[in-house]
Amino acid sequence: MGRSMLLPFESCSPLTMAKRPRYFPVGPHFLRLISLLLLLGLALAACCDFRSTIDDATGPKAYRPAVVGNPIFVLEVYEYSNFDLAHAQLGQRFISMRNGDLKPIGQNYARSIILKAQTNTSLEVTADNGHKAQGKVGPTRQLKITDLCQSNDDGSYTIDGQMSCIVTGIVVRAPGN
Amino acid sequence: MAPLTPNSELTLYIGEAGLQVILDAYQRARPEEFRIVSAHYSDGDPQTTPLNLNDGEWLDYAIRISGITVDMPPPNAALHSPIPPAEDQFEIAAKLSFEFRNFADSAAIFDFTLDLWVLGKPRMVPDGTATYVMLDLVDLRIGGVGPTPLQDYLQYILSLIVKQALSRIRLPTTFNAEDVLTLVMLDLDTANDAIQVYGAIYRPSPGGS
Repeated sequence: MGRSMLLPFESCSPLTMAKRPRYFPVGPHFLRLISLLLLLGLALAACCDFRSTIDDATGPKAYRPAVVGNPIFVLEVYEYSNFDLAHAQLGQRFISMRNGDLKPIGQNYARSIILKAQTNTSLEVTADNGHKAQGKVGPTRQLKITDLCQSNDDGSYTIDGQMSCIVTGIVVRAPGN
Repeated sequence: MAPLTPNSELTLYIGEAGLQVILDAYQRARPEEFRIVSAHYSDGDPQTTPLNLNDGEWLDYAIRISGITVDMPPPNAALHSPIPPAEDQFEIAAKLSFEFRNFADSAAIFDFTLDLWVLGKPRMVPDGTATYVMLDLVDLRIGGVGPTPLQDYLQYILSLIVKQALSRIRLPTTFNAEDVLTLVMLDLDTANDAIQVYGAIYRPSPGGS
C-alpha cells in the first residue's frame, strides 16, 4: 500500500488493480509534463495580466495627469505606435482631455504627448526609469514630448541621456507655478 | 502688420481698425447705450427723471459718450493719452459731453466736454472646463476739468463705475460643434495694433474615454 500512490503504470496488472484503491496512475514523465504545463499557464497568466494593466486605460497602471495652479490647456496622449508622428491621425487611438476634465491614461498611451496651452505653461513628464523632463509652452502655444526628450529611430527616447520605455506621470503647471 | 505666430493650431488676429468698425456700427445701431439723457430731451428716456431744483423747476441733463477710439500697443500718438497702452493692454479713448438745461428758461444751458481715457487688460479666468475672458481696469484718466482735487475725485468715481461695469462682463472662450469638436481659446494678447487670440481644437477621444 505504501507504494500504491506512485506505482508505475506497467506494474499495475488488471487483477491487482481490482483489489487496490483506485489512484490515478502517474509516472515521473507525466508529472514533469504537468509541471511544465502549470509553469506555462502561470507564465501566460502573468503575461496577460501585464498586458491588461498596460493596455487598459482604466487599469491599475493608468494614472491621471496632475495640475498645479489653474492652467488652461488641451492635452492629447496617443498610443505607442504613433509616437513621434505629427499627432494628426484622425480616427487613431488617443485620449484627449482639458483643464477641469482630467482622464486616466494607460501607460501604452503615454509615449506620445501634445500639450496645447497658454505661453509659459509647463509640462513635466516622469519616465519609468525615474528621470524627469520638463519644458515650457512657447509662442506656438504647443509643446510635444519631442520638445522635451530626444527621440530615437526605434521609437524609444532619452531623458537626461537615459533610455526610457514609458511615461509614468504628467504634471501640467500654470504659468508662474 | 505683424506675422501670425507660426504653427499655432488656431490663431485669430483682429486689428484695431476692425474693432473700430465694429464699435462704430454698434454705436449707430444702439445709441441709447452710449448716453444717459433725462426725459425732456428729444432723445431722452421718459423714465429718467430730471433733477428737481424747486417746485416746478427742473434741470434736465444729458451725458453722451462720443468719439470712441480703440487703441492697442503701440500707442496712437494722436490720442494724446496720459496713460498709453503697454504690451497686453488696450485703451479706449472717448469724449464725455455733459449738458444741463432748464427747458423752462431758454438761456439756462450749461455744457462742457471731458476727455476720457480708460486703460484695460484682458484676463483669462479658468473655471473648471469653462474659461472666460474678463476685462480688468488698469487706470482711468479724465482731462479738461479742474482743479486737481475735483479731477481726482471724478476719476475715482468713474473708476468705481467702470470697474463695476467690467466685472459683469464674462466673455465665452469655447465654441462647440456638438459631438464633433470644440474650439478652445487658450491665450490672448494685444500687440502690433491688434488682439491676437490663440486657440486649440479639442476633439473627443475615440470611444469617449
